[in-house]
Amino acid sequence: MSLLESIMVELNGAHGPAVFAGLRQAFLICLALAVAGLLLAPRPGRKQLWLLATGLWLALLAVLVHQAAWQLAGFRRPEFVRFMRFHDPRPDTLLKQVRRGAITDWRGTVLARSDPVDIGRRIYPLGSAACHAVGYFDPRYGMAGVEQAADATLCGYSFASLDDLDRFGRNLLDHRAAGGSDVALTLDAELQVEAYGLMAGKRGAVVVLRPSDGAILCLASAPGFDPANPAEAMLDTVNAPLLNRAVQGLYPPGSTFKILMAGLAAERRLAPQFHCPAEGFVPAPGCRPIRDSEFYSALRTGRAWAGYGRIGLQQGFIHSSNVYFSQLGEALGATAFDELVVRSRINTCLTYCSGAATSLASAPGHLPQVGSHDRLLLAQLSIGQGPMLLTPLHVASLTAAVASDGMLRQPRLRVDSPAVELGRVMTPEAAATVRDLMRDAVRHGTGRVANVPGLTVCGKTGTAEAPGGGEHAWFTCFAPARRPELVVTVLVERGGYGAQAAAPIACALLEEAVELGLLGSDIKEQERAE
Amino acid sequence: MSARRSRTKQARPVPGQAAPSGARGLSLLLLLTLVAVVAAYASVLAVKLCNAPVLSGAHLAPLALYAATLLIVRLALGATGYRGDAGLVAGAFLLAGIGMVMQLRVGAYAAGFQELLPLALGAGGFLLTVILAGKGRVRHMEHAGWPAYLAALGLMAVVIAFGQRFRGAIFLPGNYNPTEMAKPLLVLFAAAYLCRHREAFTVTRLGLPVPPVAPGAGLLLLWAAPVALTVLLGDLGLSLLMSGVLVVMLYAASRKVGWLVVGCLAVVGLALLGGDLSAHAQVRFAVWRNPFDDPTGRGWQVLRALSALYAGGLWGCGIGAGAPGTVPIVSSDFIYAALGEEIGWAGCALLLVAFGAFCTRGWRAAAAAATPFGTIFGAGLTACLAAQTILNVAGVTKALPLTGLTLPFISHGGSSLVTSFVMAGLLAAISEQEQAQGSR
Repeated sequence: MSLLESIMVELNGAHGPAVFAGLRQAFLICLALAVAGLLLAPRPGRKQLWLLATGLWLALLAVLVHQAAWQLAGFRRPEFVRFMRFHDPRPDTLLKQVRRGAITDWRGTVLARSDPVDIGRRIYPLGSAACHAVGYFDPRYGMAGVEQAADATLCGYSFASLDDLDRFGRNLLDHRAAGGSDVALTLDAELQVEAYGLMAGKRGAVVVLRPSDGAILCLASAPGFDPANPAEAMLDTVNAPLLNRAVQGLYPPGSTFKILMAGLAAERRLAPQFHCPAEGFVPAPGCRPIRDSEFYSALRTGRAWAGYGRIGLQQGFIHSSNVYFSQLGEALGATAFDELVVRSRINTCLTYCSGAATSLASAPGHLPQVGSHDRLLLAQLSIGQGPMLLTPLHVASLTAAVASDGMLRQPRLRVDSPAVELGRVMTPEAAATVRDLMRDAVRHGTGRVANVPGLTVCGKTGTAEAPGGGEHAWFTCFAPARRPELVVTVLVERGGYGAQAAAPIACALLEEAVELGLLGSDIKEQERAE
Repeated sequence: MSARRSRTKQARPVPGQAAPSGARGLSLLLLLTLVAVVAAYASVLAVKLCNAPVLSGAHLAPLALYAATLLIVRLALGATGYRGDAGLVAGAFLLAGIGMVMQLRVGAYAAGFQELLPLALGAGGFLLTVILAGKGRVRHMEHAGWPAYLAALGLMAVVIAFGQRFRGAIFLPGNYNPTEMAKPLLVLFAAAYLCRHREAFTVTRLGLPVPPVAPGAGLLLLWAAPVALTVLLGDLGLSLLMSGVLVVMLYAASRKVGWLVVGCLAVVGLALLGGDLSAHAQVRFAVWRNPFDDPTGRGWQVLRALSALYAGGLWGCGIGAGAPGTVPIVSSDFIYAALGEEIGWAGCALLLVAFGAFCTRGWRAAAAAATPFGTIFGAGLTACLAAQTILNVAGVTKALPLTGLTLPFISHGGSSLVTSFVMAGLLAAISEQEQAQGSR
């Protein structure tokens, strides 16, 4: 064996990498010495043109800093990482990219994690059940949901703590895949899976909140998509599965809005009685009368219905009488109504997950200013119809405000984000009144379906007319009545009656929540109350 | 005045010592340079040996030539009693040595020994320039301004007449690019012109320079001709470079910072205007703003270069161990991407410090030149190398749009290497002019 051959064997053997590393270091040291020689050797001449040299050194420094932003921290650029994944033939480039942290629910159940081998690929154990809340991370299609909002933390460059900086520095020196931190969400994986399962075959959304701090335990939207392959869903323009209906879907709230109207009346210590005939209420001359749904169902079955007669707030609420609430709206007046809209933050978005670069927020609702002259508009808005649109998350947050003494809280999806109070929607006394009304609606009224034995459910149905098809079914509720622990809001697009399409889903979720220990069963309390 | 001050400074070395400390310094610096280049070379050879147990003459010829060149330069400069700045000599050869290793690494010498000719020619040109222009003789070039101007125009005209279009610019057959030589010629012309009219350019009002009517308009008109030719050549980077160099020379001639400020603003304005008017430049601006608009088309080259840098990381993967072949035109315009991959960010920083040290020495030598012509000429030559370095490196790292300029001493291309060496030789001669004057 010749000398060269033995060198070749040696270089390819066990010591090869060490030899190459040594050569690499040796060169850098020799270069550093030569450059030091250039810098330190006696410099004849004069400094008179120092301005030019200073300018050059600054320019060189700027170039080096810019170069570092790509060469050392290039993994912070998703587009660049995507380019390298698809177009860089170097086999080990991937290993030099970021190993994203995992996304977990509050118990630690993994919702998203990186493939241990192909670290650029994400694995979503829940599949499409939590796809909207968690989002996706796809080298070709980018990021969405928490994957996007918490990207800085997941990649480990949020630099929120010294630990982050330390890890970043060590990754630079080792030139390994940078490791990110895990992100814990307030979601409950089992409740989420249950909710998504209940929505199977439907279009709509489910939101479960904890009213005491705004934590989101479930944020489901149907239909879902495979977060590991979002491309397929992008092509589905009919069902729009990528749309997170819970936070981006805007729907007329229908009768669920009567919760706020009742609160407004209670706050003013008003409980007027109105005559509610079958013929309905004509807010202004020449308008189509606003009627109750009983009138239409009687019309369909050929029964005769005489109307509710003269009723008060309690009867109006438990029967969800449109005739009563449109008159109540007129009695309360446009000014009070507009003030309610501002307090409920209907025209603003609710930020539920804030990140370093992007935050996740619900779509702002839509509700026009009511002029005092437009009586039809006021009457329509008072029953949650007309030009009013809200997201399911907003309806859930307003329900949570009723459940927590009238305080509206910012919904929060990350465990580490603080609970933020946004403002009072109604006084604690008014909230207590509305809670009783909602309890009555479930015990005796439209929400009877949701009267789960063993739980004091307070709820409100909604059947919202929408152009272009059938009604949207709503049910928003909380339990238990005295110390509300969970708020459940269900929307089924084109589902028909809220009591039929949405309330059973909310019921099933409350029962599941009791089983999961998220909600204390309170039979004794119920017995005491009734 | 300047001569007297430098005399007192330079009178200190022990009289009677034949080779002053500069020469011993040169030996040490050249030795350090050789060691660094050999270390780089060993790394390339190790990768080659890792793949095949063959070590032919072609593998060793570049290093042998380089080492021989260093030895000849040391002996020749010692024999002629070179008293200039040793750093300028060692700096030029350090950069050229790293360039030689990188060219070997990207396979530039595979075609045969004739590929080594530019290195030999460049080193020869350097030595010849230092010897011919040294000992203060560089001042005679003051009278060569007009011939230099005509020669530069003639070179460009020849290229336009006989060249062929390649990658948006015009080259002579074999991609030999004589317009490189136009750079020092134009610098020589501008130095001679500004030297003659330097008093006229020193007028300022409220800190702003007031251009003299006749010399100013004359310079503008005379400068317009080569700029127009570079536009015809499709080499907007060259016109940008030369205009920047002219600004530095105006500053060196007048010592008015106002010229630097106004001139830099004018050059940036011209660059933006050119970027707006030329379709070729528009594309480069667009790629610079967002290479991800067309990642597999226009943005391909710069994104591949950035991927190579990313693969290199902080310490690099070792010379010879990377995959710089994935970057288009890596051997010439994008050699810095290959360097970034193989010597890492740390190595790149050292390399740029070497460039910075070289240029600082160039300007110091210029500032201390015995004649105003030497100062202006030296400042212009240094500015030319410095600006070319910055524009090339900034282009590869996407800090600025691509200008198509080569990296001095390192990029592939005989004309570029020879020109860089000649310019370094002139700078070394200017540095010696000062010393020769001083120790007279």
